Amino acid sequence: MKQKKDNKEKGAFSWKIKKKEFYVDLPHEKSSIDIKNVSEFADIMKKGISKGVETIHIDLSNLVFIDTSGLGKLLSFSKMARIILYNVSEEIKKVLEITHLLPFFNIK
Amino acid sequence: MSIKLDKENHHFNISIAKNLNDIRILRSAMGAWLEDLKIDEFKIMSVNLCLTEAIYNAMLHAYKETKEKDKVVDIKIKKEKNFIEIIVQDYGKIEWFKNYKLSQLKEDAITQDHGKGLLIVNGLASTMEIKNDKNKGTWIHMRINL
Repeated sequence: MKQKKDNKEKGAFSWKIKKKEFYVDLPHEKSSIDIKNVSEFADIMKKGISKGVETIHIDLSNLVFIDTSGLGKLLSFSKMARIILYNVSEEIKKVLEITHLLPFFNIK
Repeated sequence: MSIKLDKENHHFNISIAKNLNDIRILRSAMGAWLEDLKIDEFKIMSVNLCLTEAIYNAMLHAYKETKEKDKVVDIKIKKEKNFIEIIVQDYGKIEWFKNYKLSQLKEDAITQDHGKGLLIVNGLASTMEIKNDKNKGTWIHMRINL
């Protein structure tokens, strides 16, 4: 059965589910994933996991800052589903590299 | 809390309490200040990430057994021609730095959700030093090249 659901709320992470694929977008231009909003990000990711998705696609084109709490959550979810990160800036790539997390994600 | 970093001034002392909003406000003020000084985006992110992680480290580890109202972190920021120097000082009772070992942090980064903060600082800063004095607390001294 084809599933498709959208969620868009101003200032919040948005998500979309299509078959077994889960798509996450960041709230706005110059977004952060940090200790302040990481639980909101985790709740969205859990939604996907609870629906049994196999792949989570995250568009990071609007991401300007991620701290250890955000990296920690990404790592946790990479153990539950395949995570594909899109539009990763060189800056964020470097952070993933120095924290040895680059191999846990597909980067496109 | 409101922070204004003046581009004419290159030396600041700031105290923040355990308030997540304060960290965001500080980060945003730092970003605006460095943008005014024509520092490139990657360097701004590096400075802000080192600063944020050092503050978290103090809040989460040094102040584990401290009352909320006493959780204060002092920050000194100084911009020189080619680098920025940041000192983050805590007065917590937990001597978290005794367990600090780079090889363990690398291991933790892959196996645990936590333990990446100082690894990030170590990777992005050109120098990082942790010092402790029984009367003055613990401070992380870092330099980030611009």
